Amino acid sequence: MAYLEVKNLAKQFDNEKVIKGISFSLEKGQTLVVAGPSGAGKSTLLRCLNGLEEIDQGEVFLNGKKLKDSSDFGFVFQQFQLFPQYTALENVSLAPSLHNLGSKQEIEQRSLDLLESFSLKEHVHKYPYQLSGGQRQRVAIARAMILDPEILCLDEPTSALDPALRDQVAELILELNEKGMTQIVVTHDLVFAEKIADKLIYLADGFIDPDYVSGLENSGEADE
Amino acid sequence: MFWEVTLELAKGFSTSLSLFVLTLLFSLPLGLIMMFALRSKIKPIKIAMEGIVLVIRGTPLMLQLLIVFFVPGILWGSVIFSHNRFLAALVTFTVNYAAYFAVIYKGGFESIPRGQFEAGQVLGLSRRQIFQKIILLQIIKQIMAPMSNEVITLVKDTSLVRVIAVVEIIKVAERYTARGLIWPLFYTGAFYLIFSTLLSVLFNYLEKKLAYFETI
Repeated sequence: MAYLEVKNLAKQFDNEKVIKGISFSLEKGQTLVVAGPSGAGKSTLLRCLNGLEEIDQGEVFLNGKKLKDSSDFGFVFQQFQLFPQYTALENVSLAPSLHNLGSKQEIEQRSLDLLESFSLKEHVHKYPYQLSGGQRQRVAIARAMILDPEILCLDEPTSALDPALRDQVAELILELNEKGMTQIVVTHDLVFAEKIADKLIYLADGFIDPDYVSGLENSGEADE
Repeated sequence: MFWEVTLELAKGFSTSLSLFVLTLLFSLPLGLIMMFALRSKIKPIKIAMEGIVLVIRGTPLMLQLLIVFFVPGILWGSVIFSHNRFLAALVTFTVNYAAYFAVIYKGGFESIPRGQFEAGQVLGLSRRQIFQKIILLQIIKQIMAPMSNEVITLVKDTSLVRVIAVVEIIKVAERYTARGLIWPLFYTGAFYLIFSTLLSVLFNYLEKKLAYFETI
């Protein structure tokens, strides 16, 4: 069994099927890109994996075990959703502090180290409104990674940024990939997708388009 | 004469201030309860509260005072308010201002992007942690301006209780008017102005404290 296995996942909203039964797998350390047009179900897929939507049908296995909750996933929102009243450092250290994952000093040091690894050392005490879009994104990634997720999910990481920053975002994702981070990236930008993907699936109208699949399963319509 | 009038007006103003403080004490939390009812997923509760808020915000506070004061006696022979005019005023003001606060709270709550709640959720935080650590301060910042307007309006609205013969500052001033002295009536304005100004300064200070961050 692969590191991540998704089997026959389906999701509907008010009787409209948004994801119609998809299956795919991912090995540890790989970057999976979920590409496709708007409305294809890409973000919904990511939201299902991260517990923001309930899965109607299907199963998800991580490391051979059926997934019970989404705590193994980290999520970076398209609009980053940094907490405006906290500095970059506080945004990153908030969750581990509330989860009591160490002393205040330990958590602060880990947060500082992580932000420094994202070239944000000079910006740790700034508030989100004082940061550029690219800086906010890196804070959002650090905030997700401080909790050591097994898989990092990024929803349309280039959408909220200046198109000129696309290559920088691609570099960042490739760097995380080199460090062994397993990632799932949703994007409608196929050029960007090709740069970063170890595996690529193309969602269209809730299905995986087999023309874009290499070595992945498509189970078609979910069983009723 | 001036000091005698000042002292008497101050006593009357203390009644106004008591009403002001007690109204805030009770209406701020009541407004929260009403806000939950306005946002309730149980339709009858939501609709009932919307109706209550509509009536309260759509009718004059003065009329509400008269209704609360007279109706229990007329309908049920109850003397609860006719023997305690201040209580009638307090109940009326509390419910009235709670309705306005409920709408402000609701607006503040709904102005927070859903993504903020979700960001807390994906970080594994509980609903309580999300509300206390992430949402609450953002709501307070959003509602500070409309709340300050309502609180300052409350100071001035306390003068309405004279219609049910609560002896507040203007009623005291009118006693002098009845004796041929008009200036005490205008002098009452100074009390309201000073207190409203103090409140404005306080709210300005609080708004500045919250200006260290901006929503993005």
